[in-house]
Amino acid sequence: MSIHVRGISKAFGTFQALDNVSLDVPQGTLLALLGPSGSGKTTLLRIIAGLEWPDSGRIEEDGADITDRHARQREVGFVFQHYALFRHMSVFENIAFGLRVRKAPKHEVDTKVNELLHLVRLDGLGGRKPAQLSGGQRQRVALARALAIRPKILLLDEPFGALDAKVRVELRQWLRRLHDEIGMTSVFVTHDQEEAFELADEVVVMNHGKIEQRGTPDEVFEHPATPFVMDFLGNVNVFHGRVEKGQAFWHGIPIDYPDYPHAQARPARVYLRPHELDIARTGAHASNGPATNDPAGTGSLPASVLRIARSGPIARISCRPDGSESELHVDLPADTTPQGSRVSPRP
Amino acid sequence: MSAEISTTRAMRRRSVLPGFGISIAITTLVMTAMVIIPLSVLALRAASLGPTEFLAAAWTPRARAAYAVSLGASVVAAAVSSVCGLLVAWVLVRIDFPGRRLLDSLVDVPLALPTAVAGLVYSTLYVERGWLGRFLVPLGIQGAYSWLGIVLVLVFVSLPFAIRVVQPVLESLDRDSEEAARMLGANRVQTFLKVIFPAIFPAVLTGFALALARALGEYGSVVFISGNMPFKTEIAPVLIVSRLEEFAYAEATAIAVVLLAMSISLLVVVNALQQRVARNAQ
Repeated sequence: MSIHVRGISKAFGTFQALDNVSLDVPQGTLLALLGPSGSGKTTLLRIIAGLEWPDSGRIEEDGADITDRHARQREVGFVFQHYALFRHMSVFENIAFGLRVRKAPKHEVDTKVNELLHLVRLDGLGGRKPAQLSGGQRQRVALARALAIRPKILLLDEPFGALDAKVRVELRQWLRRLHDEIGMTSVFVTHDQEEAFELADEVVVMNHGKIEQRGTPDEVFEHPATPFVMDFLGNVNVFHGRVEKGQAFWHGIPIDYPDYPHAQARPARVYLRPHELDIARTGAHASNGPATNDPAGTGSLPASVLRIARSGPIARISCRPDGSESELHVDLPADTTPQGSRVSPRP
Repeated sequence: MSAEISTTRAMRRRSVLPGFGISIAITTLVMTAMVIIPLSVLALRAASLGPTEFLAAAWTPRARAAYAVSLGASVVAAAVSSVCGLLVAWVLVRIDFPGRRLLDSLVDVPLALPTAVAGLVYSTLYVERGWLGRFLVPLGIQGAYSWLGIVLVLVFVSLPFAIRVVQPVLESLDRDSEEAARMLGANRVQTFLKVIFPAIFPAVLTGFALALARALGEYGSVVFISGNMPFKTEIAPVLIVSRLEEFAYAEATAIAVVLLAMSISLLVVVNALQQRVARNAQ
């Protein structure tokens, strides 16, 4: 089932949570709403679910206006960040809840719940109470519970936010496979760009109650539409430079910039992602200074290292180019991290 | 030797509070001085009567009627307090309206007001010429000098307990699970019965037990509204006082011991039930 959001606005007091937002989610898409906290992504999700009412605008499912339809009539599955399991019920009863309130016959409930327990790989744990499960297991119960009512749309609010890093990555890959099997239209909210890019078919970046950009992960990542998206997606380096004849100049080093072919030079702000920079390989001399003091020859800048932070396979080198006040961040594979206090970053 | 040392160490490690010994000592002292000694004196006084004398004093038809009025009115009042208390607590927690904080502080007034004053006010309100009685008595509702009157004042004195026990539990209730129930298709009644009530039921039972204990011990307000008619509206504490006024101390003590035994058994049953429900709700 496709979802169409048409000109939705929503204010909480004086805070404008959503400002005339429109969005189409085609049937079968797995879409990520990505943005910082307060960007309106969760409010948008809750309005689609029917848990909040918009001040203006409409929500349509397959062309039918469902704006005034109550949450329990929308056939939408919702997964909460903190699971929201019924603590006094067993895992089995949690999953069965939606079927029981629909007065489904007992044998049908049993079959369906056992099927779902198998789907979320929790066979044999139906008798446990939620408190006896790990965080990852609880979130799978919450997912099974949401799927039990055969929803046409699945909405997930920061579904992996409360889990530790390893479980998060596993559950993410599992959810992607599950989505491909079931093929249900799904929307999830996240502030974690890695999560959005790994999981989603399409990413919608939100800020201040508006959609900044929408596209496939590659489109959004490779061609950020606004400075906000650029800044949000990577801890970017910003410099004042100039553009002319399809090139941007960064500390005198040319970088290809085909979007500005004009001959007339113009001052510009240059955004450079940490992973777009490299450290010039100038052999053993790299750490010794004098050999790299030749920007024109190598296309690199001499700089002093301030910090090196390693995070998994990536090391982020913070350095200060000679004669500059600003810091420069460079992301490199951890095994190629340079030694010493002097480096030569280059685009 | 080494085993001894390791047990001491293990015990030390287990106690979280500093001064474990001294806190146990103070607890024992307080409980002994405030509860155990007075109750033992009561039992000893009653034991000065022989078994037949004890029965003759504590199990007369009039005394039996008084126990029935005491227990019956207290259970009904505690039940009414629990239901009304849940509603009041719900309104105070879930609904924001002007004057909410004022209402919230009014809840504790029955605890501070001398209960005799409450009894007097209630009886003036509900007598035939009273503000409420002039409408209710023609309808056949006798609020003063009746069993109903006893229940009314017992609700007044026990309601704060029922409210204050449920209130924090309602405040800490997970709102997400209510929304989850809604998303799964539950209507309001289903959401309340299947999701909210099981979560707060242990607290409601605790409130019931406290309200019951408070009602069983109440004397001051009841004595002014019940009319104290033997076999009809005489509660056990009033009977005890009238025995004391006749200088029949041993008989008074015997009645007190029976009332105490009944109250304790009732509270033990309610607490056991509460614990079972609480364990299920985990």
